Amino acid sequence: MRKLALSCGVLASLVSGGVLAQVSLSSMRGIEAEACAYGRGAPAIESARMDALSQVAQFLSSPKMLAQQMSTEHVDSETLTWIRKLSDMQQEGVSIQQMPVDTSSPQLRGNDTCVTVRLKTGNLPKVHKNDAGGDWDAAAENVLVTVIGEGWPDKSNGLTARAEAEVDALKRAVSQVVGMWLTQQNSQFSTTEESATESGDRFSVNEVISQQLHTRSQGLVREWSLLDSRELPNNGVEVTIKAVVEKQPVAQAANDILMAIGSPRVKVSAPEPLSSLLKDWLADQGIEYSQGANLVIKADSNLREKGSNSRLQLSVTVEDLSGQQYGVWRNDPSLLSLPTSPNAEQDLIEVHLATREQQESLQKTLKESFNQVVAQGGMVRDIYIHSRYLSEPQRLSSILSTLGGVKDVVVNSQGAYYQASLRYAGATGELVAALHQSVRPIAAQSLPKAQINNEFTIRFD
Amino acid sequence: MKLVMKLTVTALVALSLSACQTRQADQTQTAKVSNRASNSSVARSAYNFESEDIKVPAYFDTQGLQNCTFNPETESDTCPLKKPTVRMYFAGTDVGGEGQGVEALREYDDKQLLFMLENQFAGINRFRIITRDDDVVSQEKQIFMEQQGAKALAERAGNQSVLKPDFVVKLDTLRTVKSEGSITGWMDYTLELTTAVLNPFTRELMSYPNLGKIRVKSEDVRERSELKYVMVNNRYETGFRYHDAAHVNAVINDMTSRGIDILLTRMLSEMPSTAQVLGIKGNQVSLDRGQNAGVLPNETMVIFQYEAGFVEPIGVANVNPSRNSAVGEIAVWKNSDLADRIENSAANGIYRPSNGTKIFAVSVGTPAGFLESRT
Repeated sequence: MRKLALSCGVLASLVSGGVLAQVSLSSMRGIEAEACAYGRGAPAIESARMDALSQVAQFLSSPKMLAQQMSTEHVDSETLTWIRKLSDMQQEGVSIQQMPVDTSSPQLRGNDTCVTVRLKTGNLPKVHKNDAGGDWDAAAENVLVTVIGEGWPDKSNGLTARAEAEVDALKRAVSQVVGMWLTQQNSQFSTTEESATESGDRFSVNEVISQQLHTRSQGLVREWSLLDSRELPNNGVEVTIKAVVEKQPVAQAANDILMAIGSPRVKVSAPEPLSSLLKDWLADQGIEYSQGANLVIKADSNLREKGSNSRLQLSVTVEDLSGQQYGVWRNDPSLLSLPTSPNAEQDLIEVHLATREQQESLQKTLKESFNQVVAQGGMVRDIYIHSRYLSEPQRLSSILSTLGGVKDVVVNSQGAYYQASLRYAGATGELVAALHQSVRPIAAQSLPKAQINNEFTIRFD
Repeated sequence: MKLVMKLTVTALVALSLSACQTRQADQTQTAKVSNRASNSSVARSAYNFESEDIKVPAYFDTQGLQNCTFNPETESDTCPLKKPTVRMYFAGTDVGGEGQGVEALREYDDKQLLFMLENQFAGINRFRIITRDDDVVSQEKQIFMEQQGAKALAERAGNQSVLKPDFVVKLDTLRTVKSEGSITGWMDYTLELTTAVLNPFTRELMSYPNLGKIRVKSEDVRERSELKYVMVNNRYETGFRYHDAAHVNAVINDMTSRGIDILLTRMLSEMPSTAQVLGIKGNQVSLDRGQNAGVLPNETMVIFQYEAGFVEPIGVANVNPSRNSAVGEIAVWKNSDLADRIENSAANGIYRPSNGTKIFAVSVGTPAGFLESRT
């Protein structure tokens, strides 16, 4: 008899926002609430569930309702204690929505979908704990990393396998710290550094920065100790080292490189109105525009007419002056069509460049192209040296290759001139100074002042 | 005597042979191929039903809603509310040959009819239709841009994309003309419509829905006298301007419009709307879907119990939809024990089908007032 009375429980009705929800309490079933929401499917079920839960919360926070429950004898003491605890927790700010609840299968009633939620006696909400932490401890000066390096003897430079392995390990140590720095940057300044440090991009950026930093790895690693070493096939050695890397210089250097990648100078070559719109857009993105820049953004627009409507086809390529292509972007012509008119092209360009997805993909392509420039060791430049200045032109190629920061040297003879094409990561002035120095051993007479036609061509006439 | 004997033996042999031979099954009959004009058939009002009329129509579909996500973009294929997304084509055939009035018939432009077709089909909610009206769409974007700006337009265009069609609904038309008479003659136009639902990527023509062939004759839309003309010396003198494209178009438009109306009624019979009955209270039935499943106002729906693959009609109801559900009034209860039982328990409160059995409602076809109010 008592059981029957308990299971019948107490029924309380709450009216909220015109929707009648019923909350019932019994020792056997706990708290049950039913609510309905307009509509069908998951959104309606979720909204009905939330409504039911908020009815429960309202029920628990209403002293009048609770007092009524406490005074009745139908509810046993265990349930009362639980209700009191729940009520206390709720007043402390713990949300009832965090509680594990049973939700009945939904029932359709006319336009509404109804569910019943049940809080079982004894269940309490989980208290959420915050946990913070990360690899990059901002307060510490150094970072300790353990890395593995591999090396094989390099006879031409007279380096042993162990020395090569150690250099490799140190490079990896720096690379790892750069990775940590990028991750930290990403989480801390996710809005400012967005696409350069986005997940897909981060690996390549890390690689580019590490590549640029490798010559300086000694300066960045404060101290290191050998943990283990073992032999590899072909006289190779694998070493495991523990290295202490200084954070400040790594962060500084990485930041410099990232800035260089993020905002190079570019020239825009496009027909109007695309050109001015593109320049406008580049200025918005913080990319500098210069007529003499070596890196060119070429853009082209095309109207595709069908019936009395037009669509736009837009393509943007990033090239250097020698014609090397670093990236290409195409818009999505299906985005929209406008009635054919003299202004249709300008209107379409404006809309296409204002679309967030297209902006992001264009920006991504541009950034990737700039990364590509750095990753390939700078832009291609042409150096013309008159043959009268060179006593041993056959050695020009090998001499230029030894220059720091120079890659991919190709030498051609063009009439009275020797033309050398090479990639250089630094500024043109630096390259000219280095040329004066290094060409001296093979020079017939000292080189004259260089003529720099643009960032791309250097001439010694 | 010998002769009698011989005859008797012959007769016996013949008799025994004929006894072995069974009668050939007669399963087919000759039918006339009709070339009469097609007509529309619509449902009778539920209130005009007799008990004997209450039978379950074809193509009822008793799938439940549990498979639905209710999100049009991610709707499951098994959900009864999922409608195929289609683009519509009006494939006008060339009118070949030469002769009186042929030139004018050839100039017929069916673009506007296509839009009319799209509008009418959208209203019956059997398909999701992607309009082919590019001009209106791009003009609206132009005006939007002028009034809200390029950025707002870009945002809007970037957030939404054009639906991808599952199928193409194609209307093929065959137009013919013949003239009769010599001095006083009249034109006689015929339009034949067939529809095809096809998958353009696999080139498969779907067998369902099959709306057959619809034939419309000019006499269905115009009095014969209106198409009369007079020739003098083999030249047009007066009467119907059969050589004038505008006048011919007027007739063909009316014919096509009639054809589309018939097409709609066939579509509604071919693809009836089905809903599950949630409860019955008195004569009132509550259904679990409404406009979302294509239930139309004043729909005549047969209510039936479905159990183990068998159907038992219970009654016929006049149903009106709301967005997600519908309510109906049972106009006539079927004269059966089951119907009596349900009627009795519904009279005393809400009758809800128990777990084992399910009660459904299926539309009979085009609602009685549809042609007057919608076409």
